[in-house]
Amino acid sequence: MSDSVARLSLTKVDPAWAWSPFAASETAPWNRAAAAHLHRRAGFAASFAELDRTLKLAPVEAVDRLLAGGESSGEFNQQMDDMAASTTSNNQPESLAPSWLFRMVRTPFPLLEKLTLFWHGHFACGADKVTETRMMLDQNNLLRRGALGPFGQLTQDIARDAAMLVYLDSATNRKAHPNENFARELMELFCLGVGNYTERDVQELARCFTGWEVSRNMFRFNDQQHDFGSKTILGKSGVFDGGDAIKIVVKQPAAARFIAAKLVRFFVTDDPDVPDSLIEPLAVILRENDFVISHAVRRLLHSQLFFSPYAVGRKIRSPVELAVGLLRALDGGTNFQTLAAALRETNQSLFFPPSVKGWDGGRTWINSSTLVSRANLVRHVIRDAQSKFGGGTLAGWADRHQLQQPEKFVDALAELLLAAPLPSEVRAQLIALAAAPGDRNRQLGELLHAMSTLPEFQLN
Amino acid sequence: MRFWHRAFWNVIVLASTVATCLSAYAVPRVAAPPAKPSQAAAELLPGSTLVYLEIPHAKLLLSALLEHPLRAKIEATDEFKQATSTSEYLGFQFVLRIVESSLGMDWRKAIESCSDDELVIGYDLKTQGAVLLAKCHDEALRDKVRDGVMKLVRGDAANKGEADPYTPDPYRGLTAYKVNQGRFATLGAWLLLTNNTDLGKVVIDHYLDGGDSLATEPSFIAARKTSPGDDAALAWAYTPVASLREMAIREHKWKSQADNPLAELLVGGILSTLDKTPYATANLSIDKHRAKIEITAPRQAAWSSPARDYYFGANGQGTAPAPSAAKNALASVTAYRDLGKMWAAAAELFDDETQQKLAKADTDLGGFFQGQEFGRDVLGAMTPEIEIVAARQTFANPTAEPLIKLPGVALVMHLKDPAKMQPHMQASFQSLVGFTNVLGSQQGAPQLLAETEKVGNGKVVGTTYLLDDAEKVKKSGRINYNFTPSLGLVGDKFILSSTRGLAMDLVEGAGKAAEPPSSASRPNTSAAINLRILHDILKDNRAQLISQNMLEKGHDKPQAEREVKLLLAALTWLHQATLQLHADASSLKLELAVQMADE
Repeated sequence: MSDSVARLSLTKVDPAWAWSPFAASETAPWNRAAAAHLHRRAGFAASFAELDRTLKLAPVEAVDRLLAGGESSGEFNQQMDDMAASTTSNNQPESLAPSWLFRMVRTPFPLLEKLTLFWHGHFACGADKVTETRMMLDQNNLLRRGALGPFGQLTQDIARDAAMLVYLDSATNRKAHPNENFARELMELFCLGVGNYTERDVQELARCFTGWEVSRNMFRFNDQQHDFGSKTILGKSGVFDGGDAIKIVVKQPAAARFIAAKLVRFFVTDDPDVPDSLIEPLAVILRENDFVISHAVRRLLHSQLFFSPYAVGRKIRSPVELAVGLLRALDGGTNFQTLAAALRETNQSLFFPPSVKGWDGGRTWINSSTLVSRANLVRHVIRDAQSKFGGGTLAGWADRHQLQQPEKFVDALAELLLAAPLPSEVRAQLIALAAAPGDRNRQLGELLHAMSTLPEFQLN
Repeated sequence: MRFWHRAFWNVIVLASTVATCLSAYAVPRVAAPPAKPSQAAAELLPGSTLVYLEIPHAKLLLSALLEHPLRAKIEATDEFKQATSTSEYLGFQFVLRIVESSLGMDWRKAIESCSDDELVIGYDLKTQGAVLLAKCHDEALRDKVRDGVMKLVRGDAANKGEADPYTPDPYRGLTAYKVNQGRFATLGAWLLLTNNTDLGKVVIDHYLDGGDSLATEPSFIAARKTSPGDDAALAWAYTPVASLREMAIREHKWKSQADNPLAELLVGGILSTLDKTPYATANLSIDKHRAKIEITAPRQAAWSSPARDYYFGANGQGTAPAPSAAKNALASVTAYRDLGKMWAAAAELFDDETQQKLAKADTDLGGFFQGQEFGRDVLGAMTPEIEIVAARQTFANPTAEPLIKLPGVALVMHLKDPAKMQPHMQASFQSLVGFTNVLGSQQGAPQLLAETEKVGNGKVVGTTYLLDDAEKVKKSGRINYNFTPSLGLVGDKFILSSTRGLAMDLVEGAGKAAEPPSSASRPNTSAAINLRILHDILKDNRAQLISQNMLEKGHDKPQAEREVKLLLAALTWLHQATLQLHADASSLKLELAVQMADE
């Protein structure tokens, strides 16, 4: 990251400019780099064909296309639902990740999978505690169904989700001994954030969810264990049940700000110092549109801020983004079972988030240990016997795209995969590596692996 | 332009590959030795030969493979058509036509002409080298092939600016050549090809001087007498097991104990034969109905220790029972194994660690059998006839249908005293169901209901699932629904089955088993798998196979569907695969066969 970019501070950014529609200009052109940035953030990465299609559209049309999903996404989703269901019969939660990774790599609706991944980290549930594969899959499907819809409904659904009930001990929430876990996380991690509620609110909220149980892996309301008394939550009093309580929480002004801020951190920047003034316009959009997530995402992806130096290359790729992005960019496929196993070594094991807080993300993805495991992940994708790029070898992929010359190959990979420009001396070294004598396919694989160890490769 | 550039490149690569392969048959005979009477290949090979593979008529083997009815079926598949329409394959065909044109004959005739009398492959222990000897009755034709291929290979090398690939390497007046890592020469009617210079010299020495060779080795002479003759087998192989054994003992790799009860049950008897036998031979035969390999080794009953009486019987005549009749039978394994005797002989068969595990199992399993000793009282109550049957399941309850559909599996044994043991077996089974339910309830697994039914002349204690939420059950598709453990008791038979349906079938079918052949021709162990039923089971699981293919190979759905379709189609070409182990007073024979499906 150059010094000038590092010095960029969001505190001085004008919110009106930030969220105004992106207008291409000489300093911020709508070109392949911008389109690649859009795909990396709104999905995982674009292939050459996707970039070509995107550039035929105006930026706003490109964003709308990403929000609508590609053609045949309904049929694809049905196929993927069947595939995922087929992996549940032996009740091994680890077997869910390969089919989700497959879905991410092949989906015609990458934004939907990206948001499902976002909600998986937001409403984090770990299969190490839930243990029932089917419950985890049902939750994953629930997150996908609600990913772009109203946040209030998604929260209502997740509160009745069997996996969440087990994970946050709601299943044992009895009126005599209310368990506060779910109530606390609902306000702290899911909807409001610290400082927007009191301990008394947590206790009262927990009473609303008493009797919310799991029976035969499904939600069941046990009226014998529900506290039907009057409660006071966030200043409102009444005989509230869990559904009423969620409505009260989601209507808090802080809720829209909380979710908008998380969306900005997920799609725009890892910068921890995003001022409230910059978040508020997005929060307003959520409030004015029944908290429908797609409205905020649309504004966010088609904004001046999103295509500005404040956003481009200002995020660290998560391991899933790294692997899935590489495969999508190079029209790739691999053994998804071994890929899921390799991801477990990188601290981003799907369906096994580290805690209810999900993955911290941002700079925490990078340390001396994960740098090695990230490079190993890329090596795995390149070297796996089942890995194919455009249906063949990496050299074959390069030939099909007329990238026989080392310079063209290096520049093409940089265009597809890197959010920051390659320093000229590094580019020269990579070209020399690509031009080295020996098995060409192996050389190109070595080059790609070498590229994956660069700081530029870690940025998104 | 790009296409032609790639096609040209492919042609060059393939031309080089094919020419190098065929060059093995192109042998310049610069200095011909004096004419000698033709020697057998075994007379040319050293006595230290570890593997000897003889194809008496290469032409017959080629014919059996290339004219087999399966070939037409393979060529009719979409996958074959797709593979033969690639630019790589078309380039290969182009080069092949050039080679054939320069030879004046097609490739098959060229190969046949260079090895029409005999083809032998040997591996020598002493030099660690491999050798191929091909005998040709028409040396002029062979020389024509040689010249054509030599010319092509040299021309290709010259075009690439490379040196002549053939380096003369004369030895005792014979001109041999080096090509890459290989050496070749002609010895009269024989073509010699080897990867080891020392082995090549040994063969030439034998050719010129005669002397002790593989042909004079006593074990080879004895093995030769068992050879079925030229017309009975397409290939015949020999290995001196004694030499292998000595080598393994020197390297501390020889074990005459399995130290694993399951492995001991499977191969214990074979190990006792390998411990003493001097050699083993193998025959391959192929016709349009089946392909069969027979592996035979000399055996003497006295070679087996009394501890292994459980495997062959006290007089070495123990034979497997006839397989039971079951609907949709996928596979059956029948064997003579006296489990009670094996358990009792554990001290001689297994190491200390395994013995301790067996002792613990004796105590633990005894708990299920009303405190009886598992080895002595339970296994000892069985006769030595054992059978394992697997059969395709049809799921009668569409609600409790698993996503992955496994075959049912049953163990069939015979009780020495049915009247005494049947109540114990029934009580033990009921305990097992109760225990399973307790464990299952802790994990949210569906519960089993056990009911006893009279079936034919016997009874079945069968289980079914207690289901109270049909939609939820159906959606879950749990793998558990493959299992409805059941017990069948009929006559002296004790049947422990993973499914109620298979237990019912086996009890109903008791007494309907095929009449066993006379004990003299019955095997000690017999296994068969019905590939048609395997096809049906895989078809039942087609969706899972496709998903698995997509996840393991990264294929898209159409590609995965094509691969699964090919797998299923390939299984319809075959009828069954069998394995039989026969033991008699003088030999141990393992017979593997694959039968083709009827037209």
